[in-house]
Amino acid sequence: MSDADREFLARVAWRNWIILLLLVGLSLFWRSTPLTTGVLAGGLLALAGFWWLHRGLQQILAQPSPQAARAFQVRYFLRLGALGIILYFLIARLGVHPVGLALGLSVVVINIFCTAIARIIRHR
Amino acid sequence: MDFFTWCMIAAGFSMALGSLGTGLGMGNAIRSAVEGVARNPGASGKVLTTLMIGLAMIESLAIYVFVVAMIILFANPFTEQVIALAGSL
Repeated sequence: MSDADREFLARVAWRNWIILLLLVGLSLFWRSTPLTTGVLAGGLLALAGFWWLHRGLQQILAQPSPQAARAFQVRYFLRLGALGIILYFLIARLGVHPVGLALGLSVVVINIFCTAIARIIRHR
Repeated sequence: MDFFTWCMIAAGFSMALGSLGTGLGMGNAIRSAVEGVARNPGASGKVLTTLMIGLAMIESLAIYVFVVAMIILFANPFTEQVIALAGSL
């Protein structure tokens, strides 16, 4: 991976945190604990998933072997399982606001969307 | 069929269709990335960056579907109205 790629990913990771903070700040205007909790929990889940995916792909591309592929598969299903269980507890047991949760989970999507639009405008 | 049965069916179908589309999308993306790295191993860094961002975008669709299915099953906004309606009958 070149320095430019590493720098780009670091910038994406940094912007994820900024967007999450902005969304949490925005949710405070509603003065609703379930909404703010939903945005925060969703955002943290999305960031953790993104980081986990990054680590797994980095490892498998650094050492492409059958063992690494199997480890990636196991970790992938573990990640999805953990994500599903946490989301179930957040929605069914803790009763966080579903719209806030969806908004928080969109942190990475919003970031990538904004980055893509910024790049299109810059390269025009 | 009653309301809750339809909720179960809707959640099941949404998860099935959502994961089918996401699985196809992720499979296509990974196949293309592997082909690209096999043809040009020097480009693995660029491929990894693009693949990661693409997978994060595709995967978020499945997560949204899962959230909607959970809302239908456990946080359905119409549940109380349906129970009140059923009680009044």
